Amino acid sequence: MNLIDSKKALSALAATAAVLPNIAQADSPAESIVIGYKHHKYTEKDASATQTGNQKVERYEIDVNQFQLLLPLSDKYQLNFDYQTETMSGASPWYTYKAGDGTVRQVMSGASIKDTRDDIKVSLSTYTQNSTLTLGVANSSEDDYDANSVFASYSHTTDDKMQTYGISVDYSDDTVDPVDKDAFTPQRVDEQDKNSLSLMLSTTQVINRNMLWQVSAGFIEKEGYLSDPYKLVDIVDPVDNSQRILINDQRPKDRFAWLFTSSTRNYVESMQAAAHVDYRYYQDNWDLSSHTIELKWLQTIAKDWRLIPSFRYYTQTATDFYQTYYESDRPQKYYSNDYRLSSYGAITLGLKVETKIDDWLLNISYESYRSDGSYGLESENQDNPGLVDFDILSLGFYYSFN
Amino acid sequence: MIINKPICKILIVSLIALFSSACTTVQPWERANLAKNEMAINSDPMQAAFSQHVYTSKESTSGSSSGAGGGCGCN
Repeated sequence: MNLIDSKKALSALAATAAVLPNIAQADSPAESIVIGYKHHKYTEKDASATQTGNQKVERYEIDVNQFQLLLPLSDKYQLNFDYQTETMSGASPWYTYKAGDGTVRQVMSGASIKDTRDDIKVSLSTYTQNSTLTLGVANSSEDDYDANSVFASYSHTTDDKMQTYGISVDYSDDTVDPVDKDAFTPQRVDEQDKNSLSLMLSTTQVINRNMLWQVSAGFIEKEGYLSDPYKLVDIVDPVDNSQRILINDQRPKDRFAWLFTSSTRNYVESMQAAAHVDYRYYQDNWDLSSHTIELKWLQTIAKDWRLIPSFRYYTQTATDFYQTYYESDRPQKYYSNDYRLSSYGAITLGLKVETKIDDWLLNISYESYRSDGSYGLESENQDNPGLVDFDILSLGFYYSFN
Repeated sequence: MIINKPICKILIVSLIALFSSACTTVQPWERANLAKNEMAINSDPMQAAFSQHVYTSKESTSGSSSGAGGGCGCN
């Protein structure tokens, strides 16, 4: 059987076997034009009176509209458009301080933050017999933040279709220009730049007729202004050690991380279900390391209906310069009390339902994310009171113009 | 660092076993299950892109098997 016959045989099998259409084909253009839309309602749990030491404060609420267009131009080329627009409002953590009773409290920014973010991505995929090359550009813009990036990926599948090797690289040039610079003491920084480069290598192996395994490894390097211009830190006044002062968040200007991922896909014929097991290990030169494991069970429950429960566990260590409260001066002058740099763990539980009606693939999902210092693998003396809990409701569709 | 040496060794041995072993070739007519949508590495690309954006904004880890993605000023 030659390759063309093999591809036809595969397509025929997929057509007869697949209950739901395959949106995510990587080795050939979509068979017809596909449009996708999703709406996400992201809601963070309020910062409690215990956390703030004062009163309950509403954190972020974000409404997200997401669009996708897959436009096959021939059997060799496909244009891909992705657009995402977000409207956000609410308060975010500003700085932490030690209260008179010894507990660490969170001061919030106030509920006046309102912003929108637009993110557009365009790419062209070129398909040859065993290979796919994708080249793209992207822009993300907010009132105070602009990111321009380019990306490329290439994959090659062996003649016997048992292995696929991939490489992906992206580069992003970002500018932050904080709003209300003069409204606060200390004054917020002027316009700042940063850039990031990432490279990932991957290989996917067919293990048997019911199992795939993909592993990947690579690095991410960031340089420039990596601090958060909207966060402050409460430190001992270096001039008068009996006093405390607020200074801007200060982090190193370079960050190098490497990561490793593993993904398995297992089809369980007896249950008409697929099991997804994903793992990621991350380590960077800020002394932060993390483990992420995600499990999904994709269960066919009736013709054209699928139920997908999911579980995700995340744990990270703290960066070497992070503290909730600084008792003394730091020689390198790096200070941050950002909860995202603390030691903690997080659990996400999710449930998704999807169905196919004619050429429509409809889905609705709900995810609940809870984080806590005690969920982490590394114990923390003092949990950061800014740790976030959130819920996401998503609903959307893909439509194929067959 | 919360990864330890035994885990590293298990990982390396597993990878060597995976890529040096002669996996039985799966013929085209045996690939019906592998071709199903639910067996894709990423069966819902839009949801995956959104989730990656959220987690990158709210956690300190970024990156996936397909790359780091674009930046944002997310707080």
